Amino acid sequence: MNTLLDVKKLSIDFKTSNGIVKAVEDVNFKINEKEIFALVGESGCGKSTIAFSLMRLLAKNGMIADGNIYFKGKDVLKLTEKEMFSFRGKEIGMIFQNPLDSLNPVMTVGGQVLESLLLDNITREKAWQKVIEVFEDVRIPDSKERIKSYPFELSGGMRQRAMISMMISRKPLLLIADEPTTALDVTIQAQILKVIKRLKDEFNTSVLLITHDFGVVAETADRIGVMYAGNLVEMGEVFEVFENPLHPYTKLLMQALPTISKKEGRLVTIPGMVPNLINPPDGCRFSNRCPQKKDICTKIKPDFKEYPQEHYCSCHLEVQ
Amino acid sequence: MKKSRMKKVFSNKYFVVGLLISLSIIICAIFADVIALHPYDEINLINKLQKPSMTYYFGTDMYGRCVFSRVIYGTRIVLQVGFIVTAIQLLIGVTLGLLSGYYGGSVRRIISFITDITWSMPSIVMSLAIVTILGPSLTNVVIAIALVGWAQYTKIISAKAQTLKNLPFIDAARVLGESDFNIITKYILPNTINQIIILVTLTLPTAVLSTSSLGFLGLGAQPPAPDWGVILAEGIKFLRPAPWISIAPGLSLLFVVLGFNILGEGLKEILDPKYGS
Repeated sequence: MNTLLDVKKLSIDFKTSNGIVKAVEDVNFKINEKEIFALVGESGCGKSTIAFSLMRLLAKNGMIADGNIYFKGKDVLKLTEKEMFSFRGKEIGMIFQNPLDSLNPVMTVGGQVLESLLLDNITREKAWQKVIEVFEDVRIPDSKERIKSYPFELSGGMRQRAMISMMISRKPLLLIADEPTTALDVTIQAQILKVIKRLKDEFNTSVLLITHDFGVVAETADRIGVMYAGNLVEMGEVFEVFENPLHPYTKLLMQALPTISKKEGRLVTIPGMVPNLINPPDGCRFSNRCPQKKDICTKIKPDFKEYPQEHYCSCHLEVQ
Repeated sequence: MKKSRMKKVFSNKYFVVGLLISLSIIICAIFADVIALHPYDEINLINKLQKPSMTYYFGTDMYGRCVFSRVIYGTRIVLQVGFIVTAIQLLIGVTLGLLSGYYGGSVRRIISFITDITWSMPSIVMSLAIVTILGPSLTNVVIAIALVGWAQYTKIISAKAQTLKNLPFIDAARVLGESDFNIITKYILPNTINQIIILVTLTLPTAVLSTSSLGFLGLGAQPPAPDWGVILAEGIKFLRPAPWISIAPGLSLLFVVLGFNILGEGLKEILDPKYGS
């Protein structure tokens, strides 16, 4: 399998009035062609920051402090601003959490997809035909009529489909899905996930799925990366990680998942707080909450090491 | 679908009434030659200060000129000034507003500094100053009012653009590879249409009133131009024996200002994409 996206030693800083927030530090991962890679972690752990950095669309106070992003072998960080305009949308698309706000309220949904298609210098007529095609690709019923609808006339699920169709209209190789199902009810969630999986099967699109829902991950993803406080702590095949979690954080997360079979009344939680990222602790960022903390954990930052089954983890596991 | 939309548009009472008033003014301006009974500057001293009658609908002034004809010809000045001033204000105000709201930072700081300075000066005094420097004429009045009044466009459009640019659909546009120019013109500008229309309906009548005020003070259009402010000023001296000279242009001003405001109210409702559904 060929590597599509290769992120190496990525660190992202945000300048704030309180100091520099080290939002993402030393993150390494790869996404192969035709693969759904899930990035999970709690709010504020840097998932979306990574997503935006892939397209170099960080907020003004954010900057990529270190590392490289290779897409199809090209160094994304070395592209000129002009090259970025044709890179975005054409090579990488992105769908957002809130489907209503992600569509221009005063433009018909078809018109918005058309806008994106016209960036490729094709005729309006051809573009309209393509709009109907992509609407059919994401299973929007009655697509010839729906292209004339305004976002407010559509349901949440339909809007999310319209959003997806806008982002895949130029057939990008990688689709970033930033919590695509969070705002939707379960039935619609299942439908949207089906659409995303079909994109992979029919158009060979790779997907970077950002979520905090393990159910969604188990349903769709091939590989998973677990993030904690700006670090990627564990990565591997979905079932390998689910069956055999190595990092204490992942283990605790798995225990915290509510299951129907468990009889206990209370949900398991992880005690403690995420450390302040302006002055992150030396050593492992999870050390203050870790039940298996050793002396070394507060002093030396663990490396992101490879374990059998292409399973990666950053923890001082072998130190007793 | 189109037909039902037209039907909805014309079932809006504000819009219809406002449109009728505005159209009547535009028709008066275009067909002034036909509607007016006399040329606006035809002096007829024998018939001076005549009461309104069938020959002189609004009576005559101290030179025996037909007030009705003068008011009708005055609509030309009103519309010209109103539209030119509004167009210039729109161009300056909206452009600066979009730039400052979208880019923020130092762009915003510089633009709001200029805006605040313009904003802080009393508009009529400022126009007076500009006209005094440039000399009294209608063109200079247009320049003066336009330069004084754009600030409110900038303030409001900038605030709106600032909220809009943080919405996910702007991120979405960026992700799609749209340039800043496209984002501003295709995504932000169309979403400010409501604000712009409200502002136009506010500034258009203000522009008309300011022109008349400057005309009234003798700094705008010069006699014998049939500017409503000029007519009003001339009539003031004869307010007791011939009140119609001042009442006619005064009521006309009221009519125009009201008409544009009502039209704006209607347009605001219609242009909302949620209207009627």
